[in-house]
Amino acid sequence: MGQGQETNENWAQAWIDEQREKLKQAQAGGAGSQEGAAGTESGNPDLSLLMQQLGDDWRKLYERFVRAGLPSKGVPLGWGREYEQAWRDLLAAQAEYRKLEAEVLAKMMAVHTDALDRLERLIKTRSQENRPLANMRELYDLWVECGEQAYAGMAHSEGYCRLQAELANAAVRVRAKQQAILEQLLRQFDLPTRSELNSVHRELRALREQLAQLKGDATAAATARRASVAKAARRSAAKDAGKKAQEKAKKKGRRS
Amino acid sequence: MTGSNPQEFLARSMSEWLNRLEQGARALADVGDPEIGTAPKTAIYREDKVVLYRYEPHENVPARLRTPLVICYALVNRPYMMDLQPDRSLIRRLLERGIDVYLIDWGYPDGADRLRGLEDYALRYLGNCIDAAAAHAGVSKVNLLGVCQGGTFSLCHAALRPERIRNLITMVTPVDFRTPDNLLTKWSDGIDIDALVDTMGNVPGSMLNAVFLALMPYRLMSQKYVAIFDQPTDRAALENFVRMEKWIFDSPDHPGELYREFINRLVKENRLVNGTLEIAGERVDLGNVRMPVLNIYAQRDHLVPPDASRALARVVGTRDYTEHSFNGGHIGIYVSAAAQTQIPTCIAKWLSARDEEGRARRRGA
Repeated sequence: MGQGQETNENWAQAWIDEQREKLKQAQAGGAGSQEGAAGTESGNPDLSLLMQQLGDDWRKLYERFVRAGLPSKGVPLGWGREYEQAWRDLLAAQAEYRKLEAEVLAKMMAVHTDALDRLERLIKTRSQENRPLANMRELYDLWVECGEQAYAGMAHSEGYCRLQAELANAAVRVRAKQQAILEQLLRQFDLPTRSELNSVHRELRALREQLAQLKGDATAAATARRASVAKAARRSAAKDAGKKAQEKAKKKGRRS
Repeated sequence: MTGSNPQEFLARSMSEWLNRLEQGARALADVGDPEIGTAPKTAIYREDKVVLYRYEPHENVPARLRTPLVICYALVNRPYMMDLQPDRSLIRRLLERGIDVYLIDWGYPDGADRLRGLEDYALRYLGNCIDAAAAHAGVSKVNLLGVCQGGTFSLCHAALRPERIRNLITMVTPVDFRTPDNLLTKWSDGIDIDALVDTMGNVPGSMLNAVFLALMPYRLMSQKYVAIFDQPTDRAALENFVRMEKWIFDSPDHPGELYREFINRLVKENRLVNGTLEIAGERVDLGNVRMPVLNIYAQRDHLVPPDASRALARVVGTRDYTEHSFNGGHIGIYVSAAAQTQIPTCIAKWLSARDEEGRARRRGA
């Protein structure tokens, strides 16, 4: 056993002793224990609280990650990763939506500006033609007219159509991310989710289709059966009629 | 204004106008909730949320047509637009002309209807309603009047199951969804409809309404309210306005799968006019629509541009095709004063000529 090895044992032993001391403190209801217990009781799967439970060194390491902005950049890890990922997705979708919404609003502001420019030109023309405005209502109606013209020019443009669609798609993504989080929560409480209801609707629909098919088959079979019975009856009646005719002919022959 | 201070004139004019608008708002507050859809009717068939109504024939008018008329409305709004109020009612005007009227009410689809699509609405429900109306009237065929999206359903049905339709009338019906002036189509193109339906399920009526309002935002979100507040003494006008408001915003949610199919196949891919639409595995060939067709469209329709409706002439199989152009918009064609005489008279005359023809043919046979 060399000196280096002894040193290793010493500092490793020091760490083990430190951990034992912390456990004692936790069992005795120390500050560290309360902190950890708070995290456990809340059921919060926040990675940072788990780190705190594991000890100061881990916590310090995690705080360094946070200062570097790593938790929001890297892949979420650990027990709460799915939950954290869902929230990150929602925040990203919301940010994207807000950006597109701002672009649409900017376009609308441009339309309003354009509407006022058009109105100004129109009023100048009317003044030159000695057709002054009678009242506010007339001014308002002209403003509406100019607004619709300016808006129509933008609304039909390829760029606006694309932006409008992107905004709608972004709104749908926000909604989808919200639903994902809501479904996680509902599952935790064993409450029905939209996905489950959709499955039930699909199964119900398939059952109704099968039932309609069976009803159709049964009706067709009954119709076929009725037709077959009627055909047999007709055949039998024709046979009887034939026999009777033959017998009648025989009798007639005998008489003659 | 010459000679006066512009700011003073503006302030005075604005103040006078705001006073008038306030009076209008006060008058509107007294109007209450007027009755809608008052023509007497009886439910004669129900399936899921769908109800088929038969309107009581007009007391003083003998039945002039033997074949009943089944009205197939859109799912986007409620069908009581056909009978908004006694003096604005296509249904009452048709009854007064001796037509036996049936109306399909699709109801308010909910989560249980989200998987229902074109097959359910254009084939099954519509077919069952036609059968029920025919059985109730004691005839083998009906006349079918399809309105807006209901017109598209009616065309699909007439192409696939023509045997029970004597005459077909389409009203403000989109056929070619990709005419250059169709703003709704342009806006739909970049939208991921599959993601929308997968996420939303049924498409909320309020969302569709927001889109319709965005087509003309200055007029539809501002001017129409200012205009109604500006005529506060006319109580009848205020009541009409409230009825229209109720109808416009009483928008059922659109069944998800139907919306997916309608936008993807009909609007984006324009399959109805291209002859590539399939419903329940059967190709919808408008060439099979060989019964007489009357196509009514509105010249100033901002939702279904005239060219979108007129395209029917190019693709329909009938040799008896008539067009009627109405000088108005998508809503005015049901409720404007001009529409009250023009549209029912046009329909009644057209049907009457063909009902007679049918009778004469039957007599000859």
